[in-house]
This record gives sequence, structure tokens and C-alpha cells, in this order.
Amino acid sequence: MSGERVANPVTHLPGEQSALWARLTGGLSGRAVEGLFLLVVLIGFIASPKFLTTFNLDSLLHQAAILGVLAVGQYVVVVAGGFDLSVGAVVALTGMVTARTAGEIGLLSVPLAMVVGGVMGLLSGLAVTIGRIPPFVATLAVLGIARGLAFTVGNQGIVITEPAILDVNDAALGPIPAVALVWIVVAGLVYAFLHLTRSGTYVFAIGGNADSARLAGVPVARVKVGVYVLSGCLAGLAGTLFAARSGSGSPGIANGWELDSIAAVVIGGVSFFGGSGRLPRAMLGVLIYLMLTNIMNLVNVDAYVQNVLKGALILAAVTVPLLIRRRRPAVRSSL
Amino acid sequence: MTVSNDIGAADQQVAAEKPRTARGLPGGTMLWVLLVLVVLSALLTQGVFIRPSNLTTVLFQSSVIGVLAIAQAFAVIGRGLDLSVGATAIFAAMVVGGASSTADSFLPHLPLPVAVLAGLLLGLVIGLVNGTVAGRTRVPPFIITLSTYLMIVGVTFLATGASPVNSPHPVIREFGEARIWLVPAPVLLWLACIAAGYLLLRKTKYGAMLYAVGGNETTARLSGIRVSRVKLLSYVAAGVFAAVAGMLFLVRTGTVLPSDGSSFMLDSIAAVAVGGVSLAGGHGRIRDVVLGVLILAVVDNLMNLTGVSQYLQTAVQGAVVLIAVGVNLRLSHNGNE
Amino acid sequence: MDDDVLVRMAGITKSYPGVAALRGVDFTVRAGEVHCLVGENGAGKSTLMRILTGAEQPDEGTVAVAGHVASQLRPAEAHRLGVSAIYQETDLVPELTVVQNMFLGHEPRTRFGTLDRAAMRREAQRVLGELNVSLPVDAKVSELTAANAQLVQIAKALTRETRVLIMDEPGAVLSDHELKTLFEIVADLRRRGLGIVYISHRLEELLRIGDRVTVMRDGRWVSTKDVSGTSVPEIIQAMVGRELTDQYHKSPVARDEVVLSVRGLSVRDHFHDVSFDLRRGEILGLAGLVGAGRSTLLSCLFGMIRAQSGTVTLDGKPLRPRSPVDAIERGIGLVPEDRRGTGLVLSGSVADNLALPSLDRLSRGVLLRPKMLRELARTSVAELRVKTPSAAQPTRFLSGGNQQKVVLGKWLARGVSVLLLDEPTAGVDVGAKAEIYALINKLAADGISIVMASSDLPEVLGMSDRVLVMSEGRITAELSAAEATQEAIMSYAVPASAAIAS
Repeated sequence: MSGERVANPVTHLPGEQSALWARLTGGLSGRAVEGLFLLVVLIGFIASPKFLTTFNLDSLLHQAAILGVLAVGQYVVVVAGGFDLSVGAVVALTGMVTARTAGEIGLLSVPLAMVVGGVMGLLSGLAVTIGRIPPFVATLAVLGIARGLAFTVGNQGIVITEPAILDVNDAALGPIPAVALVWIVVAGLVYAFLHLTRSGTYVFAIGGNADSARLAGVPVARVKVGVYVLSGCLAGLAGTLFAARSGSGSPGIANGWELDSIAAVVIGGVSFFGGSGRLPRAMLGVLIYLMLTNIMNLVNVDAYVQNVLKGALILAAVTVPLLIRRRRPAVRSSL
Repeated sequence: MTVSNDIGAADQQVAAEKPRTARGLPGGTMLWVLLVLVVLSALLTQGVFIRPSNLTTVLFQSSVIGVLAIAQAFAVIGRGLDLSVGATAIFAAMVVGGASSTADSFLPHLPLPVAVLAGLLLGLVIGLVNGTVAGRTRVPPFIITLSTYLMIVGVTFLATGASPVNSPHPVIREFGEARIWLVPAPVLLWLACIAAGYLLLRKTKYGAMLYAVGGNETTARLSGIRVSRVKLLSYVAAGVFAAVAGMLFLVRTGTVLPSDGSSFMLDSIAAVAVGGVSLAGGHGRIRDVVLGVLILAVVDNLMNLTGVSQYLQTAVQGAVVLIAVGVNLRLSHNGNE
Repeated sequence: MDDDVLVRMAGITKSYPGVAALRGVDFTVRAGEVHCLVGENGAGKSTLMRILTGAEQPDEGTVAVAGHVASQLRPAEAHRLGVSAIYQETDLVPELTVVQNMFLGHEPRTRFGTLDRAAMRREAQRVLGELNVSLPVDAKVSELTAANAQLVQIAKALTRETRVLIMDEPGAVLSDHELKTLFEIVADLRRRGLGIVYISHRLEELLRIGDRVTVMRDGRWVSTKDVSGTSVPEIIQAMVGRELTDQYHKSPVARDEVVLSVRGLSVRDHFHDVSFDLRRGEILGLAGLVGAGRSTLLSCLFGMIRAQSGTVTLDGKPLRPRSPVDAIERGIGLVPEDRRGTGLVLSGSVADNLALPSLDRLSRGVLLRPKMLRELARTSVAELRVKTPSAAQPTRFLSGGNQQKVVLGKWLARGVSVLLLDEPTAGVDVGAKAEIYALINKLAADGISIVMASSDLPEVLGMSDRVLVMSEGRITAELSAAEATQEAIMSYAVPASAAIAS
């Protein structure tokens, strides 16, 4: 959890490792996510003839786009050493905002939703930095605030009739749904940000060793607030996309989506402690997570069994890398 | 990491951080916050708040979270976290309610005492699972208990056929309505749990070890403490208390739906945090946990009595948590940073 | 004359509540010099340097860097004026690459506002080249050795306009060969006109690399001399201000009975084929440079690390602890080097910490016995003379010396027959040191056998019945009290190759 120093002072570093083992595990854990992805596709292909149909894949892509946008935000926050539990509630809130305002301002309700999400993110970010509240509690509290506000906007669903919004869900570029393109563009922009700008490097630095970053002059607080704002904005965007898909805004939806986004990101190989993790893999994690759910649905696995399996998967996704890492030979201490 | 000047300087800084004696208010800051809130509520509701009937209701309704927060505290003090307490509670509630039910149910029929035992056993087993993984691997407790939470929810639905418990054993209903000297029986059960929690944490060697493990796991290990065992026990305690909370829920409401208790997870953590128990472990008294529960309950009740929209209440609760935790942190930081 | 003065600190005074850390200290650094700064722990060296880097502000006095005078210097300003510092706890981010770390906080940007990665790599390679270091710039810092990581820190300082480089115990994590490389780099930097402040406890290092040496003691300036005009004994005298030999009061009490017997013990990558005997009531000094394997040896005996080969016998029975629990049950205790990190539960009280290894014994079944706990705390605090307002005081508020007493105290309360000490008086003030020495002597007299790993040579000489010297993972010498001298120990501690080379 954020707020602690990641225990890896450079004075305790891996010494020489057996070269073969290092290459093997490095290569394996490096490709584990991709391998898992292919495995799941294979399972889907074997398990059900409906898996690889256009209809199914299209539906999958629509879902993935929404969770994917959410997961991009979660990814950035986790890499910076925290996590954002409020995103589900923000999705509900911004969905309501979109539904309420779509009639009057059409597509402008999208940026409005993102602003609302950003404000929620700002609240989280300030709580974590200035308030020094642990991310868990801080984003939990914001979850409550956002959920409460969602119900205040309207305690029942609001139907969307504005075609501009509804079209967002239906539009497509050839076989690719527009929402998927939105996802790709968002992921691409964030990727570029992380790798091409100073602040992007700072995100990794803060997650890796916040004290070092501070000493080097990195504006830690500002960057931290920034990642939460980003997460909130993207949750807002996801909220709009979902509202477009379901044709209405509803205050009670997206319960637990924050856990889904964390699960997806973790399955995608992002270290829960922060400082490392590649965005493309995190996005694969989203697909893996949703494909598994999809396959289980197609095979008529009971919804509750699905829960059990999901839980087991998340646990495995985190435990296995840790077990592999432990097998490496003893670190060479400085003493 | 050898002799470093930083130690010398840190040495001086440490020596310099003499705590101001009698730092903090007697009984803890949160006690005074609670008192202020009580007075405020009494004023804002023109005395309705402090009517015995209202106070009893407040206590009655916070008894479930009260016990859940104690469960959570066991995990948090050891520098862990238990996201599965809510799910455990509901699972136990459904099992106890369903198995002892007078009506036909999905579960095999059991006499009430056996059903209760089964419920407690359930909490124990879940705690064993959480605790074993937490004690023997480096998987973050957040992930462990998140996974078990999902699994328990799934199993709950499967084991009970997703049907609600709605004809519980008559004794359960009676217990829920019983009063001893005007105090509702569920509240007394909560008190018993508080006493048990206090005893376990303060009077047993495992409690002392838990504080050490939460405060500095490496030191604890180097002092001969069996860290995995202590962690295991803490999660077992959390599981058992969670099961008790579930049974309290059953007693209080008389019916249980598998989808109940969705807010339990977060409420238990909020209560612990608001009470001032550090999520970093090593600190925290039962008193703090109880205060956290009461503060949130009073705020809730106040909003109800003043007619605040139910939905806005959730938002206000969130804000309260932010403020309370922020204030607590400021105060403790002023003492030692 | 004044032209080449890069840093002039004058009249620096700094107090923390209750403790005067610095009193009217003057300190200058010239361009092209290596100015060594020495003093006991608590002498004020770190505080002085933190004021120079702007991390702290003095109560009185001024700091002038390159002619610019400031009385309230802040880190950003200090950076701009060219002050950089390298500490032991590295301030690198492990998951970032060498290049990223070197430019962290001041990355060059292109016209479009993005990172100018090409320029960064070029510059990184240039700086490393000038230091005569070849490192893959795209390697993650977590994959480097400690020595190379330190070089990256130096390179990082050089990516900025650095005029003054503060190095705090840089040699601590280096093998002797790596130390040579470091000295070459320092010499090179000196040639380039940088001013270098070199803080170290290893006085021999300072004489090799330094131009001037300043000694501080108890927050005051004591002396500044040219290195060529002084000697190690003179420096020590200035640091301590008194004859060293008095403070140990050692009298040999060791008996002949062998308590612990180690044969051929090896832990891969750390130490190899270590054999020695420990007698009852003996204090066995374990000397050596950092990296020799001493701490790992103690950790192995305590059950924290598994040995690959060798045997250990305790009281005639084999000792193969799989965890500290086993070692403690056999009567072994460990006082680790990092007392705040691994010796104490800082959030816990004095009483809590003292009772920690004894909790099983202090309970009846599962329930604690409060009276016994209170009694234990009371006696320990009294016997060890721990300065604390009460036994309920959280240990984080105690001074280093008193904290160390608590760590020792917990083993005494438990009752041990073998005590492993790792740097027992590191960061402890002089008064407490004397008390700890007295305590250790008393323990030996009571029949407890002690292995004491220490980098403090006078301490090793003053306290030990015998001295084992370790170098690069092997025992290179076993010296009796009579044979042991600083020169003898040092000659065995230094890696053979370096000894020949110098």
C-alpha cells in the first residue's frame, strides 16, 4: 500500500544469478501475460463455438473498451504506488450526469462527465497528498461521496434519448466499434505521456521510490494528485461510454468495477507495489479478465461459480510471480 | 548499511522528539469528537437524539458493524487487511439462518445450536485460508482477501441456492427482540465481543505478539516470534468475529438475502480508520474501534433525524471519513514527525 | 585567495529541542580539494552537511556557495548553486534505468515538451565515459551491483552543474578493489576543480585521498589540518579528545570450555569455509571491512540464512537453526546492526520491547502475566540504566544509546548463553558507549559468550579476548589480544590484491 517505502534499497541487490535460470524466468514472466492471453483464447475456442463469432467478439470489445478506459486510469495510479477504489462509483455518477445533461448539451456532456470525474479524482488526490490519508481509505471515502452524489442526481435511472450519445455506442469504423477506438486512443495517449514526458517518468519514479524521487526534486505531491485526477477523468469517460451502451444513466451500477479494474491490471502483470508494469500488458489483462467471464457465460457456468474462479485467478496472478521471484538465488548483501 | 553519520544525526533528531507529555486528550481525541457530535445532535434535533429510545436504536443498529469492525481491527493491527469480513458475515448468517430454519431450505436442517457452531466454524475456516496465505506468502493482504471475498460471495450463492432466509428459527427472533435491563440483547452481544476483543488483544501473549508483528515484522521475527502463526491467528480471529457479526445481522433483521451486506466491507474499514487505528499496523485499541463505529452511527442517525436524503447520506459519510482520518493523522504526525 | 573558496560556512549553530547539534561551526571547501570531515557519531557532520544541501536551516550563521550568501538555503537553491550529495541510502529508483535516474528531476526536453531521450543517452554516456566507467545506460538500476549503483549516483551528480560534491561514507558498500576505482574518480573530480567533502569513519581512507581533514566533536569544530601534516593517531585524539585505551576496562575472564564450535561453514556468495571456536565468557571480536561477510555469518548462526555446508556445535550438540526461533531456544541472541529497523519495534514501549523474546515464558498458557511483565521491565530498566521517563515510553523517543540498551536488555531478560553483537555501539553517544562496554564485560564475567562484529577498531582491540579477521568471506587471521594491533588487523582485513598493489 502506498505511503511506505518499497523495500529495495539498492545496497541489497541481486548478485550474479545462474544465467540460465535468470533468462528463463525473465523470459517467462516477461511473456506470461501474452501466454495467458493466448491460452484463454484457445480455451474459448475449444469451449464454445460461439466464442469467436462476430457478435460475441463485438460485444466483448464493447465491454473491454469501457473497462479498458477505466483500467488505464487505474494502471497509472497503481504504477504511482496507490490505487483508486472510487472509480466504480464515479462511473455511476458520471453516467447520471451524462444522462441528465445529454438532452440539453448533446455531446458536450462527455467532457462534462470527464470534468466531474476529474473533480472526484482531485478529491482523492488531495486527500492522499495533503491529508496524508492512505489511498485505501481516501478513495473509499470518495467512493461513498460519488455514490451518494450519483443517487442525488436521480434516485432512479434516467433514460437517454439524445441520439448523439447513443450513436457513440453504435458507431464503428469498419468492424471496429468506435468505443474500442476511443479505448485505443486513450491508451495510446497515456502511453505516450508516460514514456515521452518528464511527468511520465516521475509516475514510475514515485511508485518505485518516492523518497528518492523527492530528493531528486520531483514534485511528488503534484504528480500524485495528477494521477488521481487522470483516473477520475477516465472513469468519467467510461461512465459516458457505459451510459451510451446501456441507453440510460443509473445510480446503482458499476458496483465493484474498481475491483475489476484492479484485477485486470494485476493480471496484466503490473506490480501491486508500484513502480513497474507495462501498459500494453495491462490492457491484455483487461481482455483476459473479460474473456474469461465471457467464456464462463457461454459455457453456462453459474454466475456464482464465476465469482469463485475470478477470485482464484486474481490470487494466482499475484502469487505466481512472487513465487518465481523467490526462487532466485540469495541477494548479495553489501555486508 | 554500516555506521553512518545519518545514524548520528537521526540519533539527535530522535532524542529531540521528546513527546510533549499528556499529548492528546484523555481518552483519546475520538472520544471528544464523539461527545461533541452527541451534543451537536442533541441540539440540532431538539433533544430527539438523546431520547433513550433513539439511543437504543442507534446502538442496536450499529451492533453488526461494531462486531465487524472488531474483526477488521484484528487484521489491521497486524498490518494486514481483511476485505472478506462482510462476505463471511453474510455467509455465516445465511448458513445459520437457513440450516435452522423452520421452513424448507436449500441447506440440510440442523438444530439451532449446531447451526450456530457451523457458522462459527465457517468463519474459522475462512480465517484459516486467509491467514495461511497471508502468513506464508508475500501476497498483499488486499489481494488475498479480495480473492477470498469474491470466492465467498460465489460460494454463498451456490450453497444457499440464492434463496433468502426468511423463516428463521423462532429463537432467533426472540433473541433479537429480547432486552435485559432495557438493553437489547444484540447490543449485549456486541459488548461481549468488545470484551473478548480486548481480552485477546491486551491480555494474551498472541495479542502482544500481534502488535509487535504489525509494528515491525522483522524485529518480531528476530525476537523469536512465529510471525506466520501470529498472522494466521489474527485472520482466524477476524473470521470468527465476522461470523458472529453475521449472526447478529440475522438476529437483528430476521431475514437474510445473499446480496445483503454489500457495504459491510467498506463500513468495517471506515469504522476502524475513523477510530484512529493506523492502517500501517502496530497500533490501535478496541476503544478506538468502538469510537469509530459510534461516530459513524451518530452521524448516520443525525442525518436520518434531520431528514437528509438517504443518498446524500452516503456522500456525507464519505466526507466524514476523509475528515476524521485526516484530522487523526495530522494530530499523530505532529507528535512524531 | 578567496577565489578558490567554493563553500564558506560561518558560525553555524543549530539546535533541536533539548539537543544542541552544532555550535558555531566554521567550514570551508576549496575548489580542487578533497576535504575530509570526521567525527564520532553525533559529532554533527551530517547535520552540517544537511545545512549545506539546504535540507535543514541553521539557527544562526551563514552559508556561502560560490560567493552567493544565504542564511536560509533551500534544496532547490542548493542544487542550482551546484551542491550535490551522495548518501549511503541510495536515492536511486530501482526500476528506472541508469539514464532515467541520472536525469531524474531535470530531464532535458525537446521543443515539443517531450523528453529528449537521444540527448539524455548521449550525455549519460559522455559523463560515464569521463569517469572511466562503462555501464549499460539502459540497464535498470536494480540489476546493478551496489558499487555500480554508487557510480551512477556520482554520475547523476555530474549531470548537473556540480561544484561541490558531498560524499557520505561512500566506501562503506565497496570492496577494496571498487574503492580504488572510486578513489581514481575522486582524484579525477578534484583535478577538474570540484570541491569534495568526504565523510568517513575509515581514517586510513582519508589519508589516502584527502587534502585537508576537519575534525568535529560534540557539535563543535575541533581542528582543520592538511592531511600531510597529521596522522591517524592525531586525528583519533582530536575526535575523541582523550586517550582511547581507558574506556574498555577489559579483564580476561574467558574460560577454556568451548561453547560454540564452527567448522567449514559456508554461505554462497557471502562467506566460505569459516571455522572457529568460542569459549565460555569469551569476547570474540570479529573485524573486517564492509562486505567481508561478518553480518551474514552472524545471521547464519542465528538461523536467518541457511548454510550450504559446514557444521555448528553448541554445547556439544549440533546447531542447525531453521529460523531465529530455533536459535533463541538454544540460548542465542542477536543484536542486529540496524537497531531501529530490525532491533526494535519503534511503536512499542520500552516494556513491550524488553519482553518480546520472553512472551511465551511470561504467560501462563495463553494469558500474559502482567505482574511478571512489570517486574521484568522494572528490573531491566534499572539494571541497564535506561534513561526513560517510564517503561511505557515508546522506544522511538529514546536516544540511540538507550535504544541499544533496550535491545540488549531483551536478550538479558530472556537469558542467553551466546550473544551475537553486530556493531553494538554504532550511533551511540559516548556516555552510553561506556555503559554498554561495562555491560558487555559484566555479561562475559557472568559466563555469557560473545561474538562482537565491529568496524570500530579501537573497540575491537579494547574489548576482545581474541580477534578474528574476515576478508572477502574468509577468515584471514586469528589474533590473540596481545598480537592484535590496528595495523595487524588492517593488514589482514584488506584484500590480498590491494595489499600488494599498495
